[in-house]
Amino acid sequence: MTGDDTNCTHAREWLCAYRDDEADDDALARSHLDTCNNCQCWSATFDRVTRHARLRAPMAPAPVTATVTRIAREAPPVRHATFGRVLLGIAAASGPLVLILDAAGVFGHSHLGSTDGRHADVLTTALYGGYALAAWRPDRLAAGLLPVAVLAAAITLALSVVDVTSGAVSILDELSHLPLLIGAAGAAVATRASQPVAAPPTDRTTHTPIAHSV
Amino acid sequence: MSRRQTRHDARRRTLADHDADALARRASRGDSDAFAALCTGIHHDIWRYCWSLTGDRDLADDATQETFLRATTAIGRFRGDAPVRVWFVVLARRSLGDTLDRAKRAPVPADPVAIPVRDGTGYVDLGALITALAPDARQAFVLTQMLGFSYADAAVAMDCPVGTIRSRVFRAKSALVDAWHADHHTDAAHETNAEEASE
Repeated sequence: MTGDDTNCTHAREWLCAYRDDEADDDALARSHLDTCNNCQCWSATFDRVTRHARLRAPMAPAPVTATVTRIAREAPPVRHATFGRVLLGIAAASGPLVLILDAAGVFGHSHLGSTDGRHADVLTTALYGGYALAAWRPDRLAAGLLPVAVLAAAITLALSVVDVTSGAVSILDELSHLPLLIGAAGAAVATRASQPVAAPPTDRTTHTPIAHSV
Repeated sequence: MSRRQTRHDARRRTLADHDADALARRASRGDSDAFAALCTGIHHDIWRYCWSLTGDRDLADDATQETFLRATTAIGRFRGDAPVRVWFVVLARRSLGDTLDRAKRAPVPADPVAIPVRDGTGYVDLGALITALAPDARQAFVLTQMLGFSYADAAVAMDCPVGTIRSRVFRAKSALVDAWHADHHTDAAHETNAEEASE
């Protein structure tokens, strides 16, 4: 590569970025452009090509415009899952705390003495972990968690009602299950908010080749 | 030709960035009117982008529709870290990949959209020249020159450093200038031959 080639390449690369407002002034490149006929010819063509590309590039064909407009009207944007995330977060944060208090006997008798009780606590802790993950990525995880969370909440609630009505335990004892219910509600709300909107039917006639007049 | 003027030219039929971003923030909170206005204002850019990567009108149409369908569920996650047009281009790139997978073919410039330009010696199909560029250079050229992206925004959209965008844009423009000259020489030679034959 000769010195002239190097100067030409440098000057053209600078000009290219400078025209896009992406480079500061470069006296060396500018002085080269003032004296090099090849670069002046290149610059003129470069400006012409760029101008035509910007001004004459085709726009989206009318059928695509119509389809996008229909999508925008018929499939409104999905709402934020904020409320569901808050519920899931409360459940995930309060659940382990309630388990600790339960183990300490605050809600009646402690489960720590029995193997079955410890196993149940492990599964409940795992569910609270699921709530935490769903609060972090509700769009991906809330829907998957929902069936388990709702079933766990429903069965727990049913057993609590039976226990309380039979007088086996007090309502205060059953408050330890509140995070389970809150988490299930959070999973349901987050799933609904993140649910994909049904896509409008795509009109395949929009793909009929059409003449582009530019 | 100043950047300010060309940016105005490139976006003359599209939304300004700050307007688009404001609409996107409203749309992310569930405002369907804002979402509709955003889609209507930005879809030309997205179609041009898809067309520039495929060189095929049908694939560009499919990918554009797919992009906006995905946007209906994804807009709730728009945080405004980058302009919404960049966000849409990233979404379009993913849609385009899936569209090409479904079509089971690589983005070959098989059906270029003509951009006929008359210039002294004859017509040059600028669309064919653009679709003949290397894919990376073509994408950088379309984003920065036809859609008016800054190099920084194009770097975010293409997931590469700003310096890479700068060199890709330069490579694209150099290749276009060379191709332009070659086409003109070819056209001029054809016209000279035709004139000689008629004489």
